[in-house]
Amino acid sequence: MTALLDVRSASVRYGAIAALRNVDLVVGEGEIVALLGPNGAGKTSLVSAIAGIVPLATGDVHFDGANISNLAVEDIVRRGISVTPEGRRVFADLTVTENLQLGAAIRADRQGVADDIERNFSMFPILKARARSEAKTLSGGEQQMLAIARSLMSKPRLLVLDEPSLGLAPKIVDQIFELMAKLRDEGLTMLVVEQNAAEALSFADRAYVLNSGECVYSGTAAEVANSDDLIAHYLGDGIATTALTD
Amino acid sequence: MSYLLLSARRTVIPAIFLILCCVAVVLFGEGYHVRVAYMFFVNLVIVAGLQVFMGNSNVANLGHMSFAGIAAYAVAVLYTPTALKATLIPNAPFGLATIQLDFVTASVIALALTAVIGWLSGLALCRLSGVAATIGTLALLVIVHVVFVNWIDITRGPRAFFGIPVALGLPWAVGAAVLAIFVARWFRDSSDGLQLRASGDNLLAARSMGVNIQRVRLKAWVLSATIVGMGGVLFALFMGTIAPNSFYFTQTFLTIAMLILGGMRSVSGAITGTFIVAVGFEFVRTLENGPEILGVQLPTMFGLTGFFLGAIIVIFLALRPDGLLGTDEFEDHWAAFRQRLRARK
Amino acid sequence: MDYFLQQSLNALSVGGEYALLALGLAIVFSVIRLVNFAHGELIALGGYAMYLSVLFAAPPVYALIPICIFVAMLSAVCFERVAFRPVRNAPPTTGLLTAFGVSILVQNILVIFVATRPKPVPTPDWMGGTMSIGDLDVPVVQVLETIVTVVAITGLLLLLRKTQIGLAMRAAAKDFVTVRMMGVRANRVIMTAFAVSGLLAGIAAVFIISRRGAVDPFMGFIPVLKAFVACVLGGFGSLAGALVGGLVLGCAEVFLQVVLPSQVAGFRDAFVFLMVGLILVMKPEGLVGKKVELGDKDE
Repeated sequence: MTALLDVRSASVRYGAIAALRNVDLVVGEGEIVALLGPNGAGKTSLVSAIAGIVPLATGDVHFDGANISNLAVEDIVRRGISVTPEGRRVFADLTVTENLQLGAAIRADRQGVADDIERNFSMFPILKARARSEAKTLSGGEQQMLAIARSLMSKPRLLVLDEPSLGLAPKIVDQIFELMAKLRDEGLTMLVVEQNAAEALSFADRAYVLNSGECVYSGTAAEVANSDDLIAHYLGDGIATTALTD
Repeated sequence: MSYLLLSARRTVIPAIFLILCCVAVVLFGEGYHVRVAYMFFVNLVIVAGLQVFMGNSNVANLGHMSFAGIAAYAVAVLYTPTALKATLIPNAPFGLATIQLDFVTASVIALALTAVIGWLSGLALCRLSGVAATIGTLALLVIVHVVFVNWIDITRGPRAFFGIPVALGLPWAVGAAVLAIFVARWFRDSSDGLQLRASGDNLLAARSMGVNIQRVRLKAWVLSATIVGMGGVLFALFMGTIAPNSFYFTQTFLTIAMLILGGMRSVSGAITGTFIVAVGFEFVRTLENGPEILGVQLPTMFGLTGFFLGAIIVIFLALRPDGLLGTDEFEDHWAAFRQRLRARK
Repeated sequence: MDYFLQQSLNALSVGGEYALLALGLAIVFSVIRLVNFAHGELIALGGYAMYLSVLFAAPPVYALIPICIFVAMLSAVCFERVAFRPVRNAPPTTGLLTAFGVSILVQNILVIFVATRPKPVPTPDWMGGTMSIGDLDVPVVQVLETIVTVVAITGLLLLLRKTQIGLAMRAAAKDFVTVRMMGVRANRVIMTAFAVSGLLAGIAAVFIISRRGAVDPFMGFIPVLKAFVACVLGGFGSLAGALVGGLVLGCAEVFLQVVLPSQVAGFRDAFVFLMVGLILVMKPEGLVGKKVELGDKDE
């Protein structure tokens, strides 16, 4: 398996504070990788660095063999990485359709874009029903679906999902994960940042565990799920709650 | 109280420098030089006053010259002899045409009036932040200007108010400048000043720490208005003639350019900026009038001084937004310099 | 009744002019939070482009109009590239002071290289005439200005609703970073915002100059102050607000002109700015705006 995304000893600093220290991470073509860890572990910093939003203090990011560490935010998506940001960040004043159109900003094929919007609508029927509504009138779950659909509009080779289940009701969370499973089955490569470890592990191939800005473990999803130590230390909440519901 | 002493000690060196400037001008200068030096001190007072609010709160203020204008017109109306006022402003309300005070009383009343108007305007303006606050101060400048131009009974409108007896000279101006610097330093070091600076760095953080931003802003605003008013009084009592345009955009730009160049976050920056811009401004003004240099007659170029001010503002904000001195005072730079020397050894 | 209609048209055309300028300010502000005080200089530069073309090339008079609009647009883009880009990530106050600096700079360049005194600029004769609508004689320029304002605003709406860059501009008003994450180039969005603001200022400039018949270096100052008032009235950064604010201000001015006794007429601008101050304090979101929550992209 070739590495599609290859992050080498990446560090991120905010002033004097190191949010991420020398983290290595690889995502292979066609792979689903989960990035786990408690609040403040540096997960979002890593995603922001990949997306070009914050500069790397050390290390670099390679995508499809090319160094993309110093590219501007707007160039990252042109290389094929689409990020669904934490908190969804849909364009509140734009309609659902307009959000999707803007998601395809890098594409020039108007017909293809129109077709993809239709395709998204068939995948997310709820969005079709709200096509002409402003995004701010959507519920949290609908906004999350819109954010994912918007990311897909650029036809990414790698989809980075930052906390897709954050703040959503359990039923909606299930829907989101079903959707992600569908995308996986279509062969899309994904890096999924999650606090909800159990759901993420049940669906990913491999996982990295971050804590206090450092990578404390990496292995297959099964290994992580079976490591009582890791679960007790870093991932306790997520597993415990789902264990109860199961 | 210890802050008072500390601030006084920190004012000593700039004060000595200013007094030496003054002595040099008195000893060697001609009338023209005295005028230039006097205007330098007036501007220094105004810039120090501007720094008190703008530098500490980090809110751009474009309305400060209105306070110089209010104080100047007030002292002009109170101090000009009644005989002259009978022809200048015979219809002045409140019997002002028949009152004549000595210049100290007139100045004190003028400053008190400025402080009161500062307080009233501050009640509204200090509730605003960021761009809205700046537009608010701009509105203040325009309102006061419109009043100067249209309240003909008391200001003579767009025509100049002339004949104010000359009461002050260079020593007064130096004294006022030293006082202004001292007060600005003292406020910056005081706990109110510290809180205001904190709010200037991060409004939300300061508020969550319990800083009552409106209260400290209002204090700074009134203090700033009064100091700038002092500049206006100095101006009126030396020039003898004032007009609405003496306190409008040109002066606003000049003093803001001075503050930006030196660095608005420190009083030392205000002093440095005022000095450099004043010198540069005089130089450019000479060029503007088309001087003869080495036998070559240069053309007159009106607008050169304005160009110079605009260029300072644009270039400094782009390349050195914190000004020459940044956020530090003279003594901080001196300490850093000594530390570097020591490190080299 | 005729008088009323005449004054209404007058108010509409004045309000339209303010709205064009206010929209330009608002569009730039909404995208990069810059209060562009140098907006008025676009009018002056457009005007001087007309003056200099007449001086050196003497083109037909109608050709001066596109020249004015084009130069205003080009100047706006130049301002952005040269002066505002270096302070793009600085706090809004820095941008505002920079804009002030640019404004003084341009005014004085015009003073140095042309003259302080007003210079005559011709506009097509038919713009100065009157026309009859029914049994009403009205100035052509007022009718034209009203129509052009409507057309320009329609065009702006189409741009904002129907084009990719327009969508990006609307979205950037709330969340520029996410717009860039979609692959939209920040520079393109900002350039377009400035170009649009310059275009609208250029259109307004043609009418301002046709009324005055002359240009001078400081001619942009008063109109842009009015545009500011319009923006504050409508809530700064809101496009709908700028439009409404401009029209309200135009109507208010014409109304005050008709109603106010001559002794206090000089204080009109003081009243207007006092109103600005009050709105800023009492209702900072403007007359038509909605309150924003702390944490929204706002000051």
